[in-house]
Amino acid sequence: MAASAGGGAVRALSQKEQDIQMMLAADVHLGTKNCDFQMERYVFKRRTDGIYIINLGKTWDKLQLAARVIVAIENPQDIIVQSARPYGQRAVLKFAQYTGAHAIAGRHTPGTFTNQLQTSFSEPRLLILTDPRTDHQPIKESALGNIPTIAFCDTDSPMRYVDIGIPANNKGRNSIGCLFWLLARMVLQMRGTILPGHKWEVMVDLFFYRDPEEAKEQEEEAAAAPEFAAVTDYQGADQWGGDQWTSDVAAPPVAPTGADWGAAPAPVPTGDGWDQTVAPVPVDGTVPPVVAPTGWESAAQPTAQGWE
Amino acid sequence: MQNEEGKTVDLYVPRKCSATNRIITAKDHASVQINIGHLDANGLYDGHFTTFALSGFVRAQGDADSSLDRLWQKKADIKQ
Repeated sequence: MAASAGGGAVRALSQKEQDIQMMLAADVHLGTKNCDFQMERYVFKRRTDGIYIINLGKTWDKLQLAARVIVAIENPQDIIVQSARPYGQRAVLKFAQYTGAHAIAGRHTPGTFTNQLQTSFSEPRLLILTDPRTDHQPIKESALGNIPTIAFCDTDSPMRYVDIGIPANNKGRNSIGCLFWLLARMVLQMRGTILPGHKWEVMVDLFFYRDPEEAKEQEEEAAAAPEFAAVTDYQGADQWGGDQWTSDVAAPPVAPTGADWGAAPAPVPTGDGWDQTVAPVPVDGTVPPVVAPTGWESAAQPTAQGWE
Repeated sequence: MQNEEGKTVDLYVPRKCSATNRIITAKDHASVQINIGHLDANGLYDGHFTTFALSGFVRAQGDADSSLDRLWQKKADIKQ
């Protein structure tokens, strides 16, 4: 017995220390300026500014006790976890998702536990609350229906009809999420869903409350990405037009016309041969015919020159 | 109630509050019965639990939390 207890103590201590460090980081230990007399046994010290500091070792012990009670119920659906406080709504839904409990996030409909005519009527075997002051209506109804109650109690929370009060800061966003995460992990470890010694992969951030503004900012960032793809280049058409213009500038057909003109001078010598044939026949008449061809030749030459 | 032979003659025996020994009557709708599960060496729930009954009077005064702590401490010491 002593050896097993020692082994358990060593393992519990190491895990306990890590959990207490996480709770310190989430500001679970900060209470309020007022203190209910039934919560005095959980107070560690009072700061100079009047705020009570909660003993986190006792918080951890009460979390363990609450996890034992949750595990002892056979059907997880018979457990109702509830939070009317906005900071605890997401944590409550996540806790219900991982442990199989039934979550009521938001306003508690009066008569849920007492008026069986209602659609949302249920008779749970256990009730888990975030704040006894905010969730005072389900506490009253649990007192009329023999329902045990587990609640996160601040230093000034009323303890009437609360069977297991876990001393903690139930007004901080990170604090509420951290507490529900720890409670869910303890329940899963006791059930065997998480093997002892293994770490729970679910991040504690999932249990934190997110402002609607944060969600909008992320959506705007996602919407900005498609705008960069709208830019398109249109210079290809210009190059194509430029090619057409270049082809118009070329005018090679003019050169062949010059080549045809080169063939014209050839018939002129043939004309000279004809003059020699006419000369020998009339010796006296030779003088007038010679003048006529000369005029013809001169007329032909200027025409050729003009053409050139 | 028991007769002279020591046998119980009542058909219904009411429960008693574990903290104050008050009788939990049939009309006490504020009374609760809490089962605290037992764990083995590995920290797993082994199917057994300890039962504590609390009367409505104790809960209405806000002493249910401290009473349950005291009862569980006593029981846990015996178990360990």
